[in-house]
Amino acid sequence: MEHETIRGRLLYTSKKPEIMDKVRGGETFVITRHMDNRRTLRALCAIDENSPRVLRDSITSVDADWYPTDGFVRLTVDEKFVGSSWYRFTPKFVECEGYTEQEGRISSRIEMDRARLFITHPIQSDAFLVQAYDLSAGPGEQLIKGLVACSFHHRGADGPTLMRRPNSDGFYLRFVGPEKVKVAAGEFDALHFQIGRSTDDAYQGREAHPPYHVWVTADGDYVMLKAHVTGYMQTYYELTEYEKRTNFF
Amino acid sequence: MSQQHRTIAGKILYTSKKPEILDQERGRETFVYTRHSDGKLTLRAHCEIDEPAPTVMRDIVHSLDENDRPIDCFVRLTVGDAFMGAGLFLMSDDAIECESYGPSIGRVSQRTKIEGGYDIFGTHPIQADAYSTRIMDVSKGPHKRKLRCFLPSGDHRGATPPLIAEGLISLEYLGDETVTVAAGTFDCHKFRFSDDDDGFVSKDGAHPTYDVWVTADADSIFVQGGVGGYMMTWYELVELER
Repeated sequence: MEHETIRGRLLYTSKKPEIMDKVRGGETFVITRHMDNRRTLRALCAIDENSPRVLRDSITSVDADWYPTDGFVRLTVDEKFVGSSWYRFTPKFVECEGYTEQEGRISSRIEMDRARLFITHPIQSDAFLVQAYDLSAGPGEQLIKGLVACSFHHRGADGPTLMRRPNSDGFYLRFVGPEKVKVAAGEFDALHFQIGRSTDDAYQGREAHPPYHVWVTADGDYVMLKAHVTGYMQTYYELTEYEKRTNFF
Repeated sequence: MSQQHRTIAGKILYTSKKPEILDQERGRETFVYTRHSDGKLTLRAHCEIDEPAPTVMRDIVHSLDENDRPIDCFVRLTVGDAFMGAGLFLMSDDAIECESYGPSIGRVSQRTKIEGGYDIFGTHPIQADAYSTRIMDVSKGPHKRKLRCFLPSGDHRGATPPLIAEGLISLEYLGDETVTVAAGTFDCHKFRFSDDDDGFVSKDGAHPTYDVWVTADADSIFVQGGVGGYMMTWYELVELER
């Protein structure tokens, strides 16, 4: 086998004054880039800071053009099993089969042209979202259409089901520009993005997701280096371990 | 502040006992399992088999309830570096459901009604094999019994698209030994899987005898083991954190 493997660990900390820089969770992930450039991301995430405390397994795959092909999400919230769901993406629809404690056995399907992005909530999965930005246009804002999610809860703490905002016409990504970034895992050439349209870091409401700044590797792998959600969330994420190999993990 | 579950992580090295590649690395497996605070268990394993061709890459997320009964299992397979399939298995008291897709099988929904119960859901990671030995009552001392198994693939390497398969396999508790491997020294139970009833016959015949040494504690961690016959494989725990 000559696939590539990237392994990493992200530390979740807080920027809230009362728990400044305290660890509030973490995530380990393994990415395979297959020989035909398909990618599979496995992530195990734990959010420990207050309820809902989340333990999430997510395995998602994309094709060589980064379009989602299949996925799996399993959730434990506040130490109780919440749900387990499987996803398949086709050029004409997305389907979900699963079981949730709240709804029982679920089967759902959304007819849509080829979904562009699939939100499953691991931080590394968020890093994969920004590949949809066309870098040839340079810094600026782009509208990305075709977004589905396993949950729209800000922590992804419900479902997992299949969701698409009925009034959504897209998803905004803002490319700030290239930067050098130093994190615990090392020093990297990075691309700085902002997910979403809000730029009001002081906004404390929960109706809109607060501004979400992300810095990813500039080498085409889109590995999350650090991220900061401002507003009421005040969460901070940093890559603390990173390893990239041919073949072996 | 932290959640109260336990996490156990390890790495198993796959080597060969074939003379031409004796003791050479032929694959590897990392696993993480969570013992939830309510007694449930989730095992994730990422496995790579390099030899023999075609190569196999397997991802498994398998969960069991507080009585070690299966709840659900996700399987994703890449064989020969090409996508083979991805499926979800959902278990209830009287049935196993499978929702699967693979290029060779298309979209498949299966539901198998279970009559008379079953013993294990075998998912193919080596650590999963070790955990399945918990079905044996070691307090009885060495003994052998037949196990009714359901699996996501009846192939000896689990290298077919995820679908419900069933077979009968024998498992024998052989006694206790202390074993030293790269990850440390462990008090172990020794078990032997054997295909006495030809429950898993493939083009290579019945599944060869498979010996496993498993930690003699509630975690049932794979320590070492090997398959004989045409397979001539060996497995060893090289990293463990708990």
